Amino acid sequence: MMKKILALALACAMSAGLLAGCGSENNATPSTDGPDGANGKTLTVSLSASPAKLDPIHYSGAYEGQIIQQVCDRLVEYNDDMSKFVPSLATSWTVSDDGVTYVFQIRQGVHFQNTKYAQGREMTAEDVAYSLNRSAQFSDNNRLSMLDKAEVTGDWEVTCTLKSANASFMTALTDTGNSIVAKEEVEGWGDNFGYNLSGTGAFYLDKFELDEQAIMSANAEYWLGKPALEKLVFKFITDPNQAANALQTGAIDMATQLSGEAINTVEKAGNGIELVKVEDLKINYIRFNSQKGPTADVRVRQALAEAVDFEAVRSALYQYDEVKAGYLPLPYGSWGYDASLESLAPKYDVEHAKKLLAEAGYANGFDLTINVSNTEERKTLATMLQGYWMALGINAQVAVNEWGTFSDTVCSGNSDVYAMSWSWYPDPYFFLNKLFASNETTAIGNGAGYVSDYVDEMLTQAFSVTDIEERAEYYRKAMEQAMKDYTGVYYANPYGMYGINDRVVDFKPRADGMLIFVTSEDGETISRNVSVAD
Amino acid sequence: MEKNAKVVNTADALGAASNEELLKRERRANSAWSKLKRNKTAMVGLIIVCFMIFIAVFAPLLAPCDPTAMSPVDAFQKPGAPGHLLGTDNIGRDLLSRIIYGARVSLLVAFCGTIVAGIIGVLLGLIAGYFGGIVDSIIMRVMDGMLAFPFILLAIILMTVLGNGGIMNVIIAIGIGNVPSFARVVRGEVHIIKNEEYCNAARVIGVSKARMLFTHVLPNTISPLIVYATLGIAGAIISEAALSFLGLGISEPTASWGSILQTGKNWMNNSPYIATCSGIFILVTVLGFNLLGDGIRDVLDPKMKK
Repeated sequence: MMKKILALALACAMSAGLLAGCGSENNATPSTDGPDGANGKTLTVSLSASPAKLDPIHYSGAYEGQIIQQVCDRLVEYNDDMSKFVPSLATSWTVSDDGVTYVFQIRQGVHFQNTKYAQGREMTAEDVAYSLNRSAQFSDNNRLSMLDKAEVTGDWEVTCTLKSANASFMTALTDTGNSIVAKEEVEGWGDNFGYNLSGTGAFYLDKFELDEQAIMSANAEYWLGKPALEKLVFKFITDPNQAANALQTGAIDMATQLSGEAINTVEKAGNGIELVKVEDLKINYIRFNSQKGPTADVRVRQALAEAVDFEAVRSALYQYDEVKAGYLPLPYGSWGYDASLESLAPKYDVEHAKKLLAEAGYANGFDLTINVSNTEERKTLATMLQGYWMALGINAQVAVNEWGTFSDTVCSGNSDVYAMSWSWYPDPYFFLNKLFASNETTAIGNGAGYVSDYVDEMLTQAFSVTDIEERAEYYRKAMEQAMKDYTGVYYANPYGMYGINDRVVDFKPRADGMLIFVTSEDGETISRNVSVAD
Repeated sequence: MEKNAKVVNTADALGAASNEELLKRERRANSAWSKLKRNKTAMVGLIIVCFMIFIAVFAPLLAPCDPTAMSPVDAFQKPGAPGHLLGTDNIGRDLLSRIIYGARVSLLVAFCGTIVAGIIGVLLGLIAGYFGGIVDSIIMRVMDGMLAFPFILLAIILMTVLGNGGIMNVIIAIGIGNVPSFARVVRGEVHIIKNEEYCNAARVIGVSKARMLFTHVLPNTISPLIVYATLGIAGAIISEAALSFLGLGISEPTASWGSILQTGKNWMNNSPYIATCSGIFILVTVLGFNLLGDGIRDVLDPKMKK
């Protein structure tokens, strides 16, 4: 009898569970499809990794920047071809002669999104000062480290004082890490601000599901004008082949960062699907830990670099002409690029590598771990490195993690060898300073812990002058030293590879890889407003 | 005359000798091996299994190249390319060599995994079945608990706990995952056997419990065990492939059929041969073990007689 009652109770509990499951699904459906049920105005885009930290001061990966870009605005923006700064939340600005003081006039009549704490109130100069100071002090990746303080000096005026003259300040302001946010939102959500990000941007962040998707909806009150899209969905699809398939089936309208076979699939897809290839300001590289373990010895680093035939590695990794061979820690598109340094790139010479390793006292090899994030390209690269280094007697383990764990490992300085890519602005500051400056060793850029007084000196000189020729010369010197110290191997300059359905109207891929759907060339009127045709 | 006498002599002895002979022949014909030999599908299975074991054992002699030697410039050579009968994979390793060496890993993992499962499972089954009562309840409820998890999920949990990569860990994971089913099979058999006349007789003359278990009970559970183990190996090969496919099993650069399949899946559109070749080897081997297992069951299990 007892058993029967128990069974009955169990059955009831289970059917209740079933019903509950149905209920929640039924409730969810209409809200995700929009009131009219049609998704003609929804743009779905795939990102090749899941963002993890969406708070502007904590963001570390390009994938996170893509979402922040849509939700928040900055004082200034780059225009589409990255040739000039466009006013955004600042309408105009002046720079003092010594290059230390910047005065910004703040745009009036801009409202925060109508979210829990800010409730659509008007943005003020206080918000600007608060956001910039917050980034200057707390940014994980030192995205505004040159700023000493930002102060409110008028009703609609903010004055920024730099620690010293820094020619990269304006460019830094366009970085999504330096977005303007509302203080009460940050404080109200506390540690959860990232998951409930809000700002003054064109899209609300409705829902963020880790490893799944981010759903955004248009901000009808956007100060620049109403976005043509009603809804913007980022799907996180780590397997490029899946992204290509999703593009073919129409599940997504646009695939970003295609690689390997997916490129071929998209190219042959037809049905209005087009492969778009743009020059990216991006480098692929591997870095060696300069502080811990055997790789702290420059001879070991040189040996590791020389033991790998990168020519062959590229030919296996990139079957579809998706990269240019790279040699320097700068992309070809940067004005600091200097072809005369290419000869410093390591040459494939296993015998010499063995000799170096023996000199360093590791004739019998050692153990090391290669950290990579979980994309096919990186995994294959790691397997190849493992194979090449086996010839030196090195026993390499490959640790594959999702982006969040990978970046934490690198930032903590505990990775022996890691492979990743870096993409940012044409100003070499955003490559060389981030990758080699001693004050960046806890950030993802210089997680390898490279420290050189000479390089620091050159980098500091480089941003304290404004003449571009002079700056390029300092950067050349810094780069030369960093390459002689075998900080890593900068082996490829990838193109940006997009698969785009021709339903998508008005989209333009940019060299910095940012996906921008509503933009302005003059800061007053919308110049490009992406939409989806029916 | 002499010749005749001899004939008579043999004719005299014919009765007893030929009876003996007949009996022997009959016994031989009824022996498990002869029955198995007459079962054609089982023999096909046996040949496949022997072939796979052969290539696994003699891998270094058979493989044309070093399975981990890569040559990125020669990546994605199609089958039939000079020097690469089955072509090369995404970083230019010879696919045939990898599959031959992969047989080693896959079979080793499958055999050892099954042996680990067998040893632990049999011991637990014997104890639970023979002693009954509270011991039985405790052991079998734990086994039921493990059975409640789908096998692959259990193996994934174990791999996560053990840390992935090594062959040893995969063996342990597959071994532990298979323990409950072995324990169940043995326990059931023990339940029947322990009440047989000969067991009662042994008990009456005071045979110790350990001796009882290992010399009287265990040998009589062997036939279902052999059947179960043969089929279990087939399952273990698939489990290894599945774990490696999910990136939890054998890690690069060691070749196993599952890891080759895993690499191949990324290039299904343009280089389908990578996944296909390793997939065919898994298929054929598993089929072989299953045919053999079925054959052995037909032979050893009196209940299954046609």
